[in-house]
Amino acid sequence: MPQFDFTQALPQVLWLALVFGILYLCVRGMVPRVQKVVENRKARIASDLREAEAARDAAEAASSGGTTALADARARSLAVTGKARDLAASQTAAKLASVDEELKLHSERAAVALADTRTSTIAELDAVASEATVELVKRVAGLDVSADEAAKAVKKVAA
Amino acid sequence: MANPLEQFAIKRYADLSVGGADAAFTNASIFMLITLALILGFFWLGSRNAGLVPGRWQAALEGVTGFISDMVDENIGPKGRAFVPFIFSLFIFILVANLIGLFPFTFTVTSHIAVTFAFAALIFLICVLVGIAKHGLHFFSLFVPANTPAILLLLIVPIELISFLSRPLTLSIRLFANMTAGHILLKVFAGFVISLGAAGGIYAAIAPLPFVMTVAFYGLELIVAVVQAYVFALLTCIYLNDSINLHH
Repeated sequence: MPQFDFTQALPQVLWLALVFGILYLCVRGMVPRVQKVVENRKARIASDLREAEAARDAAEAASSGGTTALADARARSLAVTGKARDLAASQTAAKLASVDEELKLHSERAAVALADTRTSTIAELDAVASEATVELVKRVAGLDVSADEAAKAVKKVAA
Repeated sequence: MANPLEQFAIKRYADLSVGGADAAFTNASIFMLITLALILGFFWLGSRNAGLVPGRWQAALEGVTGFISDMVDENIGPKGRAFVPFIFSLFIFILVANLIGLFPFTFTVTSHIAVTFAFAALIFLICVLVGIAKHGLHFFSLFVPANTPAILLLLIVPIELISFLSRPLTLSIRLFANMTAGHILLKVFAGFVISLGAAGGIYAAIAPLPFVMTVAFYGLELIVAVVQAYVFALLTCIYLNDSINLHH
């Protein structure tokens, strides 16, 4: 077996010492650099996570503030609309009452006017009837009746 | 049939020497350099344009780094941070060398006991030196478990000592044997396909069977390549933990 030919061992060991020595020096330079990059990344990720958490907390606080503000605003608007509605209702009621009053007044006045008109019309009607009676008597009987007599007769009949 | 051991042969391409020691440039050197080049290429791809949002290569590099530093944290604790680059280098070198070895016509660096034992000896040395540097002579209490009756110590101390001293052997032989056995198996089954096909007739008809076996073994070897790299790194962590925390 060539492995047990120890006359060939020394060159291998010497070359190994050279090659492994170079390798070791390179690794010693490289490992800390790689570890530093990994550490930096870990630190960056940790700080980013912390920042994200803080931002989330802030957002949560803002959103809860927003909901209370919204509830406040809703309550305030409800109060305002309620007040406005009450005001409008009372105004309407007042206006309605005054209109009612006026209407009553109007209708009373109209009733009075109607009654006046009626009596005056009836009086006129009596005058017309007595005139008509005078004319009728003159044509039919050829008698001249005075207006007073005719009016008396019409009144007698109308009553 | 080709010799299944041929793939492990060291081929010398140039004779070099460092201070009189034989440092020939061999196929092992070539594949160590390829391993290094692939790993450095991976680092380059993974760390170029390193950004907050990782790309694919950056994610892969961060994944391997995180995997190793988690393993060290779990097995050693915060005192083991300084060893992350060492464990990382071990893991990635063995992993890439194992995986390269699975390509046909390549050479598996980690199938040589010279390489695996060099790693294991280095780890053993580091464990002993770190232990003595951190705890002084108290480090040797590693061989004396707490609350053990004095008579049993006569038995337990030698056992602990042997188990400690055998660590580099078990560590190196585990990796070497896994790689070597798997590659021999693959080569033997692949060789059957050729020799059965060449034999002709009824033999040629059953030649696809070892081919199916080769494919299945190849999948198994892929798992072995990754698992052995992991096991090597994990055991290194456990041994270092003994030195740093003294059985706690």
